[in-house]
Amino acid sequence: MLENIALIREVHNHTPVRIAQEEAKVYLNKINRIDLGLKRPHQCNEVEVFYIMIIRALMTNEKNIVILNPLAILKNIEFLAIAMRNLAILNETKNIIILENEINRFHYEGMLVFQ
Amino acid sequence: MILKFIESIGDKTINIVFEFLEASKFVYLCVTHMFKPHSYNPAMRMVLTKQIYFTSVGILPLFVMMAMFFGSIIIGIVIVLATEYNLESSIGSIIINFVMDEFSPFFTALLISLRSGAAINTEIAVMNVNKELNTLREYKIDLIDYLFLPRIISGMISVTSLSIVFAIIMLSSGYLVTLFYMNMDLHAYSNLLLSAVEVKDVVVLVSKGLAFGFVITLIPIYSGIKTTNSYTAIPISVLNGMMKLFIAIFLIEVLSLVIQSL
Repeated sequence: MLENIALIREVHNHTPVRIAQEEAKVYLNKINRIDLGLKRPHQCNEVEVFYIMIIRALMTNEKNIVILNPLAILKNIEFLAIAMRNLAILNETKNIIILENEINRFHYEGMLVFQ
Repeated sequence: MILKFIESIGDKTINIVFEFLEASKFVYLCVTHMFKPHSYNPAMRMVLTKQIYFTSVGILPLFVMMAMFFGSIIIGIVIVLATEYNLESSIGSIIINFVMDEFSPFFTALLISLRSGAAINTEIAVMNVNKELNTLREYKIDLIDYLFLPRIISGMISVTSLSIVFAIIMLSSGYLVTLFYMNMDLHAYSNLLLSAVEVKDVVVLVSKGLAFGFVITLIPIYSGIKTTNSYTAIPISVLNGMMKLFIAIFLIEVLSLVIQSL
């Protein structure tokens, strides 16, 4: 998945492949999931795909990131808490907006570390 | 009844014209992107390198064997026929014309279209059905720069270079036939070929290789992005793409014969 994540920088900023992949590794290291870099898409579970999507979005030049229905991506409520914690670890500079169904609001209560 | 018949003709004509205009626009976009330095970003260059490897290096062992096999047989047949019709004096130019102008680029084009053309068509069609193309668009990744251009350029480079390799191997293996059939030594054989080679032959070989390489990748890509959103549409897309591709290859071949005969 390393190539997958690094692609954004290579295309948008014309960053050389090696440097873009190093940047991707820094993000993966932050959540102690450097192993994800060597996996193929079909080898990743829902939460791993979620991390890849988030890191890829963080590597864009956009200021705001909108996550639409995280639970629909994660598929399992048990993953939500750890995914949100890692999301807070990964993000340093961007505004992350989560759009979720009202019915799922209580799943997020008490775990949001960002406004 | 007659009105409906006329309507259906009009409908089909309009559809064909629109399809032609759409395809022309796609060709125009690909060609213009080819000349934009901005298209050559690091990701594109990496895909291009991989594509060249998969298209021309991966096929090399099979390709060399086929060139040697066909080379000795076909050159043998050409020599036998030329001797039969008392054309020994122009045997060098017959071999060069046949090998460089016609057989090498055509055979290479057929082989690459069967191997890589079908693969590219399937790959793009699957990406289209799986909405991967939409994801790339969402991330503002230009599909032409990242997906299509590396494949087109790789096709052009691969078919041209493999045509040259094919011609060289074919002419070299042809020596064996001349040695046994005509008792011709290597020096005489190489002189025969070198004196027959003209700049025109090299130009024809390279330009046909580039033209074949362009259509071998462009038509499958276009067919792939036109796939409707279901898995059952993928084999139909490949089938249609390959049919159009073979028609295009024959048209280029005919066009080159017409141009050469002028």
